[in-house]
Amino acid sequence: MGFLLKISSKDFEIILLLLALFSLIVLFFWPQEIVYNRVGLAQTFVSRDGEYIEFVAEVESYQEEGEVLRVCRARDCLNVHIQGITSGDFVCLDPKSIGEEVLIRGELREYRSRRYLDAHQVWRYG
Amino acid sequence: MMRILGVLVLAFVLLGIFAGLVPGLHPNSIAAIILEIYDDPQMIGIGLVLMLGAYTAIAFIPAIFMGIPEGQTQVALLPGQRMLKEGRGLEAAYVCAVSVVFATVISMILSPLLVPMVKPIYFFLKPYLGYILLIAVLFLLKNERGSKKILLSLFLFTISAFFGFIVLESDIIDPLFPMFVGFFSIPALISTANDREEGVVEKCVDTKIDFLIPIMLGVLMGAIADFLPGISTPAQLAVFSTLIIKLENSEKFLAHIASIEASHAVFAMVTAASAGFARVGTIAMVLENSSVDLGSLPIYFAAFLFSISIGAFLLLRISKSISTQIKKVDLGLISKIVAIYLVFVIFIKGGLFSLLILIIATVIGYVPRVLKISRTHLMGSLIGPSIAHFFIV
Repeated sequence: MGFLLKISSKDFEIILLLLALFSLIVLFFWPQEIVYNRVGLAQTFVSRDGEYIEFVAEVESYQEEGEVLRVCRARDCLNVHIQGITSGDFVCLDPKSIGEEVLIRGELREYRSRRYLDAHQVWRYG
Repeated sequence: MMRILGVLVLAFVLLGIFAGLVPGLHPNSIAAIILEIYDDPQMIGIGLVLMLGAYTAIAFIPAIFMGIPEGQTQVALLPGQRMLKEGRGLEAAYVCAVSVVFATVISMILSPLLVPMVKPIYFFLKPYLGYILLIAVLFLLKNERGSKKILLSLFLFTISAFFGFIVLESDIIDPLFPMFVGFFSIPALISTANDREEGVVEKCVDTKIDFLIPIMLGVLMGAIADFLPGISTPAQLAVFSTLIIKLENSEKFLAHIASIEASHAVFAMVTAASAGFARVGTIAMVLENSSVDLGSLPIYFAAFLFSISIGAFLLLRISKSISTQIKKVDLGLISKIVAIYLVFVIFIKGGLFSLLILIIATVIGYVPRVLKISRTHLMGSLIGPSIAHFFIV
C-alpha cells in the first residue's frame, strides 16, 4: 500500500526542529491579533422578555479602535458575547478606562446557536 | 502583535508533555486547573492548543512501551504492543512521530478543501455505515482459522460489544480508560516480564515511510470525526478502517490511528473557527475561554504545529532512551508498580464503578489469551456500540 519515502530518523528530527522553528516564527509574528477583549462583569440586568440586556463591566484590557469587542467568558456572562461594537463605541475603552467600570447596553440575538449582544452604547459607569 | 510570552509557551508545551507521559492524566484535567488560576484570555487559548499538540504526540509513549491507553490511543495499543514484542518499539514510535506531523501538515493544508466536502460525504454514506461496520466485523472474524475459533471469536466480540455499550453509556469521566486498561494493559503488564525474558533486541530505526496512504485516510477520518454524532471517540472511527487496513498490519494501522488523532484536533480548530463548535474537549475549552475565528486560526495552527513537532521530536528521543534502558531495568517490578498506579488512578478518577469496569474488562481481556484467539475481537467494545448507533438511532 502506497508511496515510498525514505527519511532517516536523524533527518526527520532535523525536519521536526525546522517545522517547530517555522511555526514559532508564525506564532510570534503573525500580524493579526486574536480578537479579544476581556471585560469582567460586575452586575447584569436582563429585561423581562430576555431580549434586552445591560450590564456593568470592569474594563480589564484595551483593544485598538475599530476591532471587535467580545466577552468570551461564557459562564460569567450567561453565554452573552458582545459583537458589533463600532469605533464610536470605544469611547470608554481607551487605556485610561482600564480598571474602571463601564455600562454596556444592547440587544440579544441568536447567531450560530449562541446568544450575542449587539452593544449599542458603552459609557463610563457612575 | 500578540503578547505571547516565550516562558509561557514553553510551560504549556511542558504541561502537554507531562500529561502525555503520566498515564490517566488528560490535558482537559490540567486545563480545568489552569483556568482556575490563570485567565489571561489571549494566552489561555494558545496555551491549551500548545498543550494538546505536545500531548497528542507524547501520549504514544505509554501506549507503545507500557501498553497503557492515553487519550484516544486505545486502538494503538494492539499494534503498539505487537511491534514492541517484535523488538520494534522504537520503530512504532517513529511511525507515530512521522504520522502525527504529516497528518497535521496535510490537514492544515487541506482543511479549506475538506471541511466543505466532509459533511456531504458523511450524509451520503450515513445510511450504509452500519452495514459497512458489519462487513468489517465479518472480515475480523474471518481472520481466525477454523469454525470453532470463529465461534469463540464471535462470542468474545459479542461480550465486548455489550460491555462496551454499557461503558460508553455510563456517565463516568473518561469511561474508555478503565475498559482498555483492563482489556490490554493489566494482562500485558502481568505477563510483560515473561514476554521479554527472551531478550528482544530493539532494532535501529531507518524505517521507510511507506504508510502515506494510511496517513491520508487518517486525515479524512479525523475530518469526519468532527461531524459524526454519536461516535464517542475517533478511535471508534478507526474500526471502519479495518476494511482497508488490517489491524494485523501493525505499522500501517498505527500510522493511521496517529493520523486520526492529529487531524481530528486540527479539524476541531477549523470547525471551532468556522462553525463555532468543537468536538475535541480541549478545543471546546479554548472556544469557551478565548476567541477562535478564521482570522486567528493561523495562530492556533502555528501553536499546534510547534508543539506537535516538539512532541514528536521528544517522542523519538524518549523512545530511544527507553529502548536502550529497557534491557537494564527490572521490568517485572516496573510492571507491578504501573499496574498498582493504574488501579489507583482509575479509582480516583471514577470511583468504585470505574474499578468495577476495570475488573470486568480484565477478566474479558484474559479470554483471548485463554482461548488462544486474537485480542482484536476486544475491539467489539467500540465497533458494537457504533453498529448499534447506526441501526438503532
